[in-house]
Amino acid sequence: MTIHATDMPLSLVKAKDALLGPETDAFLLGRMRDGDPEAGEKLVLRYHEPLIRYLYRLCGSMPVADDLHQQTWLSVMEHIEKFDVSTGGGGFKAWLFRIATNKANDLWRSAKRQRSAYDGAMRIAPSEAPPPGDQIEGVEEAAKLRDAIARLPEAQRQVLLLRYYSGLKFVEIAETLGCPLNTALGRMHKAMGKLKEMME
Amino acid sequence: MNTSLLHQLENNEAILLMYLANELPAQDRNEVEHMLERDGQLRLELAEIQQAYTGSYGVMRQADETTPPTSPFSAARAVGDVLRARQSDMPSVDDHEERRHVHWIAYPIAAAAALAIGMFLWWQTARDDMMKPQPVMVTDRGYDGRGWGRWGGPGGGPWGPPPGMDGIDQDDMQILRAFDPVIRDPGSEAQRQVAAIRFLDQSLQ
Repeated sequence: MTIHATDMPLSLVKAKDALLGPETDAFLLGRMRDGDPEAGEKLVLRYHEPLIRYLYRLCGSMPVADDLHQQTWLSVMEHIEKFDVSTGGGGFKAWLFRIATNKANDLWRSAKRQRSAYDGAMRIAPSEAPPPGDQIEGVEEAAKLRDAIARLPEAQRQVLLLRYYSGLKFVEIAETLGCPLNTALGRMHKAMGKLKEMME
Repeated sequence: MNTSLLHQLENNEAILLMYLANELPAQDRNEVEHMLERDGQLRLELAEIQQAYTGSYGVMRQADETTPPTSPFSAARAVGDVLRARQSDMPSVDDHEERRHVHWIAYPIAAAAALAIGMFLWWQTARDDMMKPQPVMVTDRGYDGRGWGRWGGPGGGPWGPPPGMDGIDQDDMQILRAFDPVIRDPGSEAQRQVAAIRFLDQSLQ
C-alpha cells in the first residue's frame, strides 16, 4: 500500500508560484537587492495570500495581520543584504515566514505584557464580518472552524499553519521554529488530532 | 555518509508523517513500505494519520474560504515605493562612474598644481636672493680666502660666487690679499682712504 504526498492538498504557495511567472525567488531577490521596485512588488504579490492568511490565523485579526505583513516586508528590506540564499533550508520562503513568525511572536509577547490579551483579539476576530441573514449557517460553521484553529495550543498551531500556508518541509519548519524535527512532527500530529476531534 | 532520517525519528507518528509528506530519502521510504507490507497495525496508523492530515487541511481550506484576504496591491505598492525612494536617494550608476572618474583625475591634478605652486614660490625666492646686492667681501675681516666658503666659491659649495665675483683668478686673489693690510692699517679714515687709492693706482699700473 502506498500513499503519495501528491494526494495531499497543494499549498497556496505552489498555486501562486504557477501564477506569478517563472522567475525564482533568488532571482527576484537579487533584483530587489539592486533596488528594482518591480521585483519587490512581484515577491510581495507571490507571497501575499499565504503570508497574510498565516499571520491572520496566528493573530486572529485581519488589520493586525496586515500590519504584521507590512512589518515583515520592512524587515525583509532592512536585512536583505544579510540574507544568503545558499544558506539554510527553504531559501527565501523559509526566511520570510521566519520573520513573520517572529513578528507575530513579538506582538503576542507584547500583548501579553500589556494584558491586552491575545485571546481577547482571538475573541474579537469572529465578529469582524457581520453575517448576512441567509448565510448565518455558513458563517456559524466558519466561526466554528476559526475557533477550532484558534483553540489549538500556540506551538501546535504554528507548525500546522506553517506547513499549510508556506508548504515548507518539516525539516525546514523545525529550523524556522528553532526546535528539533521530532518536536515539530509531534506538534503537527497533535494539532491534526485535536482539530479532527473538535470538528467531529 | 549515512543520509538516513528514519533512525533519527522517535516514533511511528513521526515516521509516517514524514512518509506521507514524501520527505524521506528513497532508501528510508522503501524501508517504510516494507514495514507497511508486513505490519497491518502500522497500515491502520497510516490511514488514521492521512485522514487527520486531509481533514485538518479541509478545515483550513474552509476557514480560508470564508475569510477573504486583504488586497495584495497596497502591500506590493508600499514595498515598491520604499524601493523607489531608496533608488532616488542613491546615485545612479552613471553618476557613480562619473564621480569615480572625477576622483581619479582630481588627485594627480591637485598634486601637479601643488608642485607648480611650490616651484613658483621657490623660483620667486631664489630670484629675489639673486637680485639682492651681495658684498664682495667683509671689509673688517679682510679677504683671507676662507671667505669664499660663505658663498661656496671656488673649492666651496655648489652655488659658486655671488654676482660680481665671477671670473676672479689667482692674480686677483693676490692683489686682494695684499690690499688687506692697507685697509687694516690703523690711522685716520682719510689716511686709510689715501693709502688705499695709492695702492690701487700702483696695482693697476
